[in-house]
Amino acid sequence: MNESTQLSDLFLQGEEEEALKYVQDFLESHSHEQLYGELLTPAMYRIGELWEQNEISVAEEHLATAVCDFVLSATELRNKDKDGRKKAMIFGPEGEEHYIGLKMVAAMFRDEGYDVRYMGPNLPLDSALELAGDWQPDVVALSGALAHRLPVLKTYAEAFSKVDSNPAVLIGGRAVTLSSFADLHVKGAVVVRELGALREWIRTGKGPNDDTLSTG
Amino acid sequence: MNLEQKQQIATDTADGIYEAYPNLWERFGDRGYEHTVKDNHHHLDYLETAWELQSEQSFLDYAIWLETVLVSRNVETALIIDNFRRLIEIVPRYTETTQGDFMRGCLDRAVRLLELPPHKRS
Repeated sequence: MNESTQLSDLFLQGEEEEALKYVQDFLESHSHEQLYGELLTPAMYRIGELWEQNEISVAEEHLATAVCDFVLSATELRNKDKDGRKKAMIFGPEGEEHYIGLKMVAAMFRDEGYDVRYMGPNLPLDSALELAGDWQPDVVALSGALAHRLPVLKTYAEAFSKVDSNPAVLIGGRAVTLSSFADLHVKGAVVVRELGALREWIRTGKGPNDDTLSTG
Repeated sequence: MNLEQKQQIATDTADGIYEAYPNLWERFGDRGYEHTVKDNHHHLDYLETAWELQSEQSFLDYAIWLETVLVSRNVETALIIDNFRRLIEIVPRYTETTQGDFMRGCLDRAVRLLELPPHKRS
C-alpha cells in the first residue's frame, strides 16, 4: 500500500492524531509542496474515486475531508512579516463546494511571502468583487473541481480582469487537469494545472512551459 | 436554457423514464425518482459546459464518469442510454438551432460510446 493510500485510510477512519503524525513524519524528509502534490492530493483523489465507485458514502467522504483539512491547517507554514507584501485573494466560485485544493494554494502563497486572504468555497461574484475593490489584491486565485464549473470560472476571470488593481487571475483545480481541457484557454487568466507550475508562476510570473500554462 | 426550462426538461425526462419502466419505483422509490431529476440537471449542466467550451470530449468524459457512479449504485448502463436518448428528443426544443445540434451531437456520441463494451471505448 503506498503512502497516499495509507493516509487516505486514516482520513476515512477519522483518525486525526494518527493522520497528523503520519504527515509530520513525512515532512521530516519532504517539502510542503511534496506533501500537497504527492501525498494529500492523491489521497483526496482516491477518496473521490471511492465515492464514485460507491465504496464509501457521502458522510465518509465528508469525514475524510474534515480530517485532511485538520492536518493541512496543523502543518501549514505561516510567514508573519506583513510589510510591503504582495496580496493574494483565494476562493472558490459560487456553487463550488470543494476547498482542500484552495487551502493548499493559499498555503503556498503564504509560504512564498504573500499576504493571503483565503475565503473558502462558494463565494458569490458580487461579494468577491466588492472585497477585491477594497483590498486591491495583486493576485486572484480561483479553483473548480468539476468540469461544469469551468464556465462560471470564465465569468469570474473576466470580471476580475477589470478590477482597478489589475490583478493576475489564476484558475486551477481538478477541472482544468482533465484531458478534455488540455488546450483550455481563458481570456485574461492563467490556467495552472499543478502545484509545481503554481510555484513557478509565483516566483517568476511565468509557467515552466506553454503546455502547462496558458494566458489565453 | 434557464433554470425553469432545465427543471421542465429534467422532470419531463424523469417522468418518461419512470413511466416506461414502472419497476423503477419498486427498485429505487421516491428517492430514486428525485435522483433522476437531479441527475438530469447535471446532464444539462455538462451539456452547457461542453457547448460553452466547444468540447464534445468533455461530455463524453462525463458520460463515462457518470456510468461509473451509477452502475456502482445498481443503475444499469442501458438506463443511462435511454435517458440520453430522451434528452436528444427534448433538448433541441429548448435551444437555438446551432446549440441544439451541438448538444444532440454530444448526446448521440455519448450513446454510441456507452453502447460499446468498455474495452473498445478508448
